[in-house]
Amino acid sequence: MAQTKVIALTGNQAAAEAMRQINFDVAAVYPISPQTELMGFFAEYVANGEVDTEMVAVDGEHSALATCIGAAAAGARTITASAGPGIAYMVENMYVASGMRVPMVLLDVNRALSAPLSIHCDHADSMLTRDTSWISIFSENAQEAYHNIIMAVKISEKAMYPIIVNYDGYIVSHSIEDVEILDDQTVREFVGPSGLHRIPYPLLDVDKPVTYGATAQPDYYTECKYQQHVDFLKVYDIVREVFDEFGEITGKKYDFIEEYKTDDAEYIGISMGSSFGTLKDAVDRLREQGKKVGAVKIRLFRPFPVKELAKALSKAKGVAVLDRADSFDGIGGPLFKDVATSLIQNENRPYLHNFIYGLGGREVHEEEFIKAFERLERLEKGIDTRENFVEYLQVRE
Amino acid sequence: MATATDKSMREIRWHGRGGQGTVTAAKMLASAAIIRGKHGQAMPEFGLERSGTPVKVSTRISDHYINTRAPVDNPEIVIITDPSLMFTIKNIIKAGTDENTVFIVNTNFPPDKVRKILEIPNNELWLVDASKIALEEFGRNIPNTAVLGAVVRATGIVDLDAMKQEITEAFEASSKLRALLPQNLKALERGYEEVYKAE
Repeated sequence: MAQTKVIALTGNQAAAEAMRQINFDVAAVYPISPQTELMGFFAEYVANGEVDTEMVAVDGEHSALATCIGAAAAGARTITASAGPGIAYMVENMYVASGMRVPMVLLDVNRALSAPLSIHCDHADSMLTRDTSWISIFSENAQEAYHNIIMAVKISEKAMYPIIVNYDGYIVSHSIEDVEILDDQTVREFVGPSGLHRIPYPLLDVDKPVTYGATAQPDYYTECKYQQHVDFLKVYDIVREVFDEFGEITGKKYDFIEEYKTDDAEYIGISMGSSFGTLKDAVDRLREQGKKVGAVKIRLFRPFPVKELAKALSKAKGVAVLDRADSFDGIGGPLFKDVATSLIQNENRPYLHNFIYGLGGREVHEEEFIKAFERLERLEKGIDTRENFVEYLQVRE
Repeated sequence: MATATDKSMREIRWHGRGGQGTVTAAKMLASAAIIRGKHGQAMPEFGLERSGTPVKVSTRISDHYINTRAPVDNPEIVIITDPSLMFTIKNIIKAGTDENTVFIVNTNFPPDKVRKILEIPNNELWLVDASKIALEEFGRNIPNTAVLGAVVRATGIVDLDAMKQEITEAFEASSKLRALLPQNLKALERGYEEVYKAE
């Protein structure tokens, strides 16, 4: 088992520590709150010679990702990080990265999108990346962010798909908590050495020259996308494999979803990111009152854990999906749509309701989640009625 | 305040002004508890960071892993690092408190004046002139280390040695702060010695 030590770190400090231990070859970045501090910490490691990373300060997030794509195609172990509008600016190149099948890590320190301008947390930025065929993992706290970054390197390189590690801006990035850190050697052995051998077709292989991201005419574009489609579904097994291997080394066993008191639960709340701990506390409070409630956290967001979720919700009477972003389209927030679709093959489908919460850094309290459970139960029992299955949980009207 | 699900939970809320080290102090308190093997959490209220504006920070310490990421709404302990806030944001400082809330205030006011301003006739109240200590020890009104000394003494939430260890590690890790370590350790000790419980 690995050597560990528990220290007090913010999410950004924990992420920078993972980056130091992994010792990426290239980091191309542009600063944006709440990611700026993370790269500040990492820049110190670079300046102090504690890592071998070539840190490239670029003129914007679009260029940051373009730089990473070039570096990763050449065979470098590559990382970038951003937040909110920075992610939005990256999106065009995100499709390029996954289409070219280059592995790399993107840290999304989740932030709202403008307008109105907000530097604070919600998941709107990450929802822009839903359809980019990047693997996407959400972290509840600094500990998970740290672990996820280490696992992400390996997942991405095995799958030959880029990967996003999400952690909530400020709530995780700027808050301190106890984090169990692995020793450097364990991390370096786990991710393995960097180098061209990791890449099936490195750009810089002069004996076997290749072209990346070339044009595809109508006669081949579909086939390219179909290969991407088929291969992206193989990511499930790769993620499982890496999670298991990490569990053997560290004793910390992760799964696509985390279930909390769902075994006999009649009503289940689903969330992602930092709110899940608060949701668990809400479940505990309601359990003390004899309510059979539970909670599910989505850890692997892309590809979506359809089977695991369908099983976890198969016995529930009602499910409240808590979305930290809105789709503004009349058919529910992004997570709600995914959950609803996941249940399409279940014989007994639970009553579904969608709550939008925590937008632009709105503080989330246990009491609000308790209200959400109570509303769900009343709706499911027909005591309350609803005009729409999408409701805002914390709004002042 | 111990919560329904965790009887060992201690919940603290800090009120200060940007630039006085309040966020740092809240984090150092959690870190000192983590040094002693406890679980700790410190979350700033995430406003725009500007010098001089009021800042609110939550610290939680527990024997168990802390699930919640909500701010502290019903603090067991309220720490005021800038006395002027008692006049300007009294309602925010008092929100969620009751007669059992312990107040620790950086001020040179006498106890009866603080009780009157905050309208806390019977609460446990500790006073320390941490700004004076900071000005005397290192010539700047950054009272956080002196306030931490007072908090250690008033609450016993962590021991003084753990606090010293945390401050030492934090200052030694920073090239900017390293030279100020002895003065801040002195401020911590003076805060511990000079804080007093009001009648």
